[in-house]
Amino acid sequence: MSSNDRNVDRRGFLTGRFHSEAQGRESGPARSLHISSAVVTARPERCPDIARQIAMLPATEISGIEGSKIVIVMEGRNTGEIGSRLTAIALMDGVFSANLVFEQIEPVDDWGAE
Amino acid sequence: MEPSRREILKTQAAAIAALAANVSLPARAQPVAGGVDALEITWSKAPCRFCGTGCGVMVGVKEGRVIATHGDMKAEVNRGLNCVKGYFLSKIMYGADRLTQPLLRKKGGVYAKDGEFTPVSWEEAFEVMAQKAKQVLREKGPTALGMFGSGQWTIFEGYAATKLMRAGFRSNNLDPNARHCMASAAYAFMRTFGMDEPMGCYDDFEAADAFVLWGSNMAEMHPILWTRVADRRLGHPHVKVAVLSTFTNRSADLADIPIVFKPGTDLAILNYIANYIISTGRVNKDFINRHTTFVKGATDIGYGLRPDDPRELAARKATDPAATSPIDFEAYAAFVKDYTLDKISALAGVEPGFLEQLAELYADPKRKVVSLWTMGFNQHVRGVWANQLVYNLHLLTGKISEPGNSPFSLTGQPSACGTAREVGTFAHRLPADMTVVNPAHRERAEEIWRVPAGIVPDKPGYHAVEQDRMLKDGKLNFYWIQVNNNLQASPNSGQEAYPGYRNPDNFIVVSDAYPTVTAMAADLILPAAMWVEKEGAYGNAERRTHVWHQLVKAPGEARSDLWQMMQFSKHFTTDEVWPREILDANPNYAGMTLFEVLFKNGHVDRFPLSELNPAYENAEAKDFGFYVQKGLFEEYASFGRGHGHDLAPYDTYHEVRGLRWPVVDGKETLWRYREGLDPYVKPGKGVEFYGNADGKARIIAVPYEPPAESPDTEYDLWLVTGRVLEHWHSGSMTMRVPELYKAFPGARCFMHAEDARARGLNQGAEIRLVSRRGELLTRVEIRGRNRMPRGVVFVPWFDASQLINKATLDATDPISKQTDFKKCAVKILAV
Amino acid sequence: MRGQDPGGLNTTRRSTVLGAVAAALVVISFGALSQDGASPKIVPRLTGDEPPMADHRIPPLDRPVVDDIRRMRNYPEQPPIIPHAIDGYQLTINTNRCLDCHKREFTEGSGAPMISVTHFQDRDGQVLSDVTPRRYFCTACHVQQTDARPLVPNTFQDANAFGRKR
Repeated sequence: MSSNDRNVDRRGFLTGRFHSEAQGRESGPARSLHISSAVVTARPERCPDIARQIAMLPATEISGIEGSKIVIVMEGRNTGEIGSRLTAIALMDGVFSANLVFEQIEPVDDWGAE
Repeated sequence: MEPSRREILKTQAAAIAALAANVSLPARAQPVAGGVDALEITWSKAPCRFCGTGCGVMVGVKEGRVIATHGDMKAEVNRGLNCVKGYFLSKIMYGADRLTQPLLRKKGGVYAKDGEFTPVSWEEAFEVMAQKAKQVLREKGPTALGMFGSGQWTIFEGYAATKLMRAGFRSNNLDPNARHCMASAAYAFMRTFGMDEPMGCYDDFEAADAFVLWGSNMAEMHPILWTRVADRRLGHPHVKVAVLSTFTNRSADLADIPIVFKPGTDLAILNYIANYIISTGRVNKDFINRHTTFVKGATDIGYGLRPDDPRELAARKATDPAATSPIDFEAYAAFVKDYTLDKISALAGVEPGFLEQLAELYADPKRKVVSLWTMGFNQHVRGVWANQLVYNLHLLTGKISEPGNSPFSLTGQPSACGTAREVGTFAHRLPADMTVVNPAHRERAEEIWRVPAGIVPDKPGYHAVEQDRMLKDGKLNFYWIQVNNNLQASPNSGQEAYPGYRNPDNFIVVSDAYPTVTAMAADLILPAAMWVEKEGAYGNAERRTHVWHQLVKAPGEARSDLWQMMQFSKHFTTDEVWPREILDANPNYAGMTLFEVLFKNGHVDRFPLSELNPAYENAEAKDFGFYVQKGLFEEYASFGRGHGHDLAPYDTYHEVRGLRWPVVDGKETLWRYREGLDPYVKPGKGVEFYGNADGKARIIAVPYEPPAESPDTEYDLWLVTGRVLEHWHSGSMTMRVPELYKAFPGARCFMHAEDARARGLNQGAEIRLVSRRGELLTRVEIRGRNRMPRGVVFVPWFDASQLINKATLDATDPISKQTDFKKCAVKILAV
Repeated sequence: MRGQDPGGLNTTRRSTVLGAVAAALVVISFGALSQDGASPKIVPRLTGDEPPMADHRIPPLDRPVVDDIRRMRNYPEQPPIIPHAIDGYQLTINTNRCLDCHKREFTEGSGAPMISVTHFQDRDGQVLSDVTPRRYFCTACHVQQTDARPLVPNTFQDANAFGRKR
């Protein structure tokens, strides 16, 4: 994540939680998994093609296509990562818009599988 | 945490996006490890269980339990948002102390008023209940039998209740807790427009240039409507918000014009604004000439207290408070001329500058104004007047019945409009704005109900506060309470309510999902199914009728209120409840059960089980063998169709997120009384208030009159009661949701720091709050969300361990009989 | 400006006596589980006292939770609760103290979680560059918690509880 992980942020300061270098990111509270869904709109006849391109992006899945809309689900480690992926999608040829609808942030500590 | 949680979250994320985009996801397309079956959540629509806003929610069900809820993106009302209570709907049915079987007070194996609650079968419960009801009917007649219902009843339940009480038991002693909530609004609608409920709708919010809150803390009580007000205000800088209240609350956070006035003086402020409109020459002359007439109301009308109270004996017009006589515009203008800025500023304790700014919002012809009010107006000894005085302002300026110009009465319960008002569960009302005192109306009801002429009694029954008094006095002896917690809600409860419940002559039945204060004071408790444990229909504050399916089963032996009433009706035959002469004249009714007369009447039972949606349970239909809800709804709808209350065919409501009546030719009506927007307005009329025979609305001249009780040297503080955001009404649902409980665990007494200091009290100190009626212990809050002016304290009523209604006064508006919970005198003592 | 419901007593003035009172209350309330058919138990805040019109001693106001630890949500759509003090926070037409930390551009300095992207959508589902005004008043959905113990358990189970069974 960003460099401020190692600095004392306001929240950390207020709560007395200072992250030392040694603790690193593994135990820091900032590690999290973001699960987001978005709606992509494009010309209907281009949708299947665009969906295939989107599906090739990392940690991105196609949940459904109907008419001019594609519903996608993305995973990422922070909002920025997901945001840039969404920007990439928005810039794809034939895509009118790509809008985030939902974002769930889960602390990674809760994810046994991680 | 195992991977499946991640998959669940992804599935749900996809579902939410799909919902937003109106895309249906094929099940197989959902990327679910371990198979779709393992994770499948069935999402169905329902209205929120709480307030009158009527938000749409999506309810996720898995393996027969509600596992999640979220705001419905497709619901016009809330477009995906919920307030904190709405977001926790999933938990309201799962308090560990749900009632799951009937409980009867017994001693030595038989019913005893002083016995202990003992589990009994439904059969035994109904047998004892029927025996008590029959005994009361035999000995005292139908006026000794009563029922107290609710604006939380589904439409079918209210309709079944009104049939059972009026046409079955021949008693008009049926009243809803909505009497405590918006009776004043309903009477004012009838007196002004001849027809109940708002002309506008929530779409007004996106069109308004100004919002004026009259005694309504929408930020806490109607948070989702408040999001629409905030959206409009913050997104459009020219929009102004005025908030009037007797103390500073969260709604004031958005106020451009914050006004804290002395309790009761809102009447004077309203007349001042009317005077301002007239004296600055901004009356819409054309509008008032074509669409209004002027009347003068009776004054000195008393306070709805017991008739022998000195205040009633002293009031000149206490016996005829609703009387009016015609006047003209000039007489009206002369009447309000006394309400000058200087005088009203002093009386109300409000800076003149604020009053002028407020008046200018209404007077400025270029500014569209939405007025909003709830309990501050309605729970008011002059509540009907207050409602009518705000209509005056909109009528004088013609700012009514068009987008953005809207006097808007909000409601507190999910079906206050749909069930209490439209179905007509008030002691004097019948469906579709008809009344029991009108012979033609009774005749029409008897015809639709297929019961003999003369069955429906012609005298209004006991209203809510009167029911408590009659229970205490031993004139009302069999009493059935459903979906409400009246012993916690009703005023002066220690003196006027509780004694009636425990009066040995009375048998009290309470149907509820949880053990409430009221249930614990009953003789028989019936366990009730709630919300999505039954098929239901609610009507919200903007005339929107919204239907939902049964989504899960009720726990144990809990049954819906509808099932309870219908099943109970099987225990009576016409010979036991109807007079001999009516039966002699109609021998074909002899020996029939009330169930056969009222429900299996060839009309209500005309839709077979095959019409049910097989994807959903329907406990009542299965038990009675026909599609009960549809049958009741369609019979009920026949009252209003063609009479300005048209409802769509029942099945339509399962498909849509509610429709606003009148629904004519499949189209809902957003604004009533205006040509082009309302199909009932005749061409060329422009505006027509067709509820009144002359098509005109009434502008009324009524004065400021003081409250029933004001602080004096001994009882030196005003007491205002109300709610908080996190708890809904008496808290029986929200107090069982851990997050909501922990957010606001107990009631407290909000007061000004100086008032506390003067009594030697610190923040958090335990205190004794005392009125002339009763007293209770509570704690001081001087820092919380409400900032009190000197001399006024606020205590919410959700906490059953602090029954604030022991202190309140049972004064009502003499016209609407609605209680004033906002104004009485108390003192506070250190403990 | 006013606070948003602080708890009652200043933490520095908390005494062991109060602690004991609170502990006793917990015992009472957790003795109050219903109910296999038996008469409902008295839980004064829910059922009223016995007899209901009697005076009931009022426990001290509960203290707000200020540990700043994120709580798991019951389901993704649930608004997260506020795990810190908001005493004296201004939340008015001109000032939104919550956004001072939780707004996207301030989260780096504050370490606070960024408000969810759902909060950028307007009523028509269009995504805006900033928080939608309809979501401006945070406390309509996000509430503080106190250390009060629930009066009765709630048997709600989240989706995961079912997934686990399989």
